[in-house]
Amino acid sequence: MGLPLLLLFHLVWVSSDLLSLHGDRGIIPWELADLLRDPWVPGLPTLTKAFLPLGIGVHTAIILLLSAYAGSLLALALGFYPRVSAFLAWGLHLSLLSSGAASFYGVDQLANTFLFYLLVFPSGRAWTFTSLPASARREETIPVSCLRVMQFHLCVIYLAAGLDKAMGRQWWNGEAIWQTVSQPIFSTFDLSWLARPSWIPMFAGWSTLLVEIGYAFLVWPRSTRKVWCIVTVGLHLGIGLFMGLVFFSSVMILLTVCFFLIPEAVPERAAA
Amino acid sequence: MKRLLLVGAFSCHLALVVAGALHLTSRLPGFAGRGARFYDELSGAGDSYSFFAPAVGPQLRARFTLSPPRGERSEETLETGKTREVGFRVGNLAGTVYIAAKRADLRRAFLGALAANRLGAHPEADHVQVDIEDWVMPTMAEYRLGARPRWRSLHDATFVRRSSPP
Repeated sequence: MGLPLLLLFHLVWVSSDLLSLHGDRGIIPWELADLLRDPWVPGLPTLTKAFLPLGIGVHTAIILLLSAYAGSLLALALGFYPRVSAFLAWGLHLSLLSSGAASFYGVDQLANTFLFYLLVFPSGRAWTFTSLPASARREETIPVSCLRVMQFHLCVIYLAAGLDKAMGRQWWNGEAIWQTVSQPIFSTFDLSWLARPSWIPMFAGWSTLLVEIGYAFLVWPRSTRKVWCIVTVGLHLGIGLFMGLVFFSSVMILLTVCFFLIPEAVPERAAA
Repeated sequence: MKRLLLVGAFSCHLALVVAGALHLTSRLPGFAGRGARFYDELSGAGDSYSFFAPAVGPQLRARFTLSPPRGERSEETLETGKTREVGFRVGNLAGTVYIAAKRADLRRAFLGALAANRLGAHPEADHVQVDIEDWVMPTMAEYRLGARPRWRSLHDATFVRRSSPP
């Protein structure tokens, strides 16, 4: 229920600009957005065409589709017809991703990935508001094999992100941190003073590499799991605080907590 | 048998996850490559995760200078008046326009779309200059020696509102 609720919150957060980002007459009109997207994945332009025979115009169709997306996320969070809700949420998220390709960033891809898992795995059995009789409690889990697939995928994400960073000099000499927190779009505080004690950004860069690369190895042993989850959550709190990437950080914290911290506390149970 | 099929399916999926992270999926040739990339689009299995890697790229933005027939010119960016989350998205949009504008045949269309969007929001303006700019940030050593960040123009174009045809 966590991911659909976060996506719903995000949808409300950007709702006043949804038509600018995804509408047929948005900042990038559909005729141009079509040049950037995979023609095999149906975007909003394709879906709105289905409404035309019903006499529903493009603008109204977009509003209906966005409302259906919001409704499916809410239904998925509540565990209401989870498979159907997950299918709608994933399909409409993918359409938005496809037609809004010019403006999406990493977190949208991650959301697509884990919505797909909510669709193919029996997610509706765990952590929803649907009450189950006591006899069905054993069913209120997702199979361990499904959990392992998602855990492995999350480890690949961190390992790839860490190794790709480690190949750049900027992450070793602190310039990556300096450049990031100095960009107007990410800057939440004036951190120009960091140029003088340059060991601070260097330490932050090394710490980022250690946490991301170490994640794939140290989140599995029981003795280091809790510590590594806590430092990973700390990394994302830092990203949220100093770069303003609150939505991205929230999603990443949710994934680590759901895949590694909660299953440890409740064996063979997972939430997503 | 069912267990074997599941293990096979999960293994194939995770192999694509690893191939995507290693940036291999885009290089797969032929029908298998096309099929893998389509599955990647749907499932996200083929994504790469090079967030801010190997180096942090410059921030890009679209800046507009709007001129009415009479009165003062005004300046704004796509981020003006937007929340931070929307700012990230329109910032990426400026990056996409910058990449598209490297192709001469697409440059006018994309810059024109940005101009039309702003002229639509400002009916009083009859000229708009669109600047795609990047943020030039000095290194820490350069900053200590007195260098300061600045916006640098990468592409610019001016568009004029045409009167509606009679």
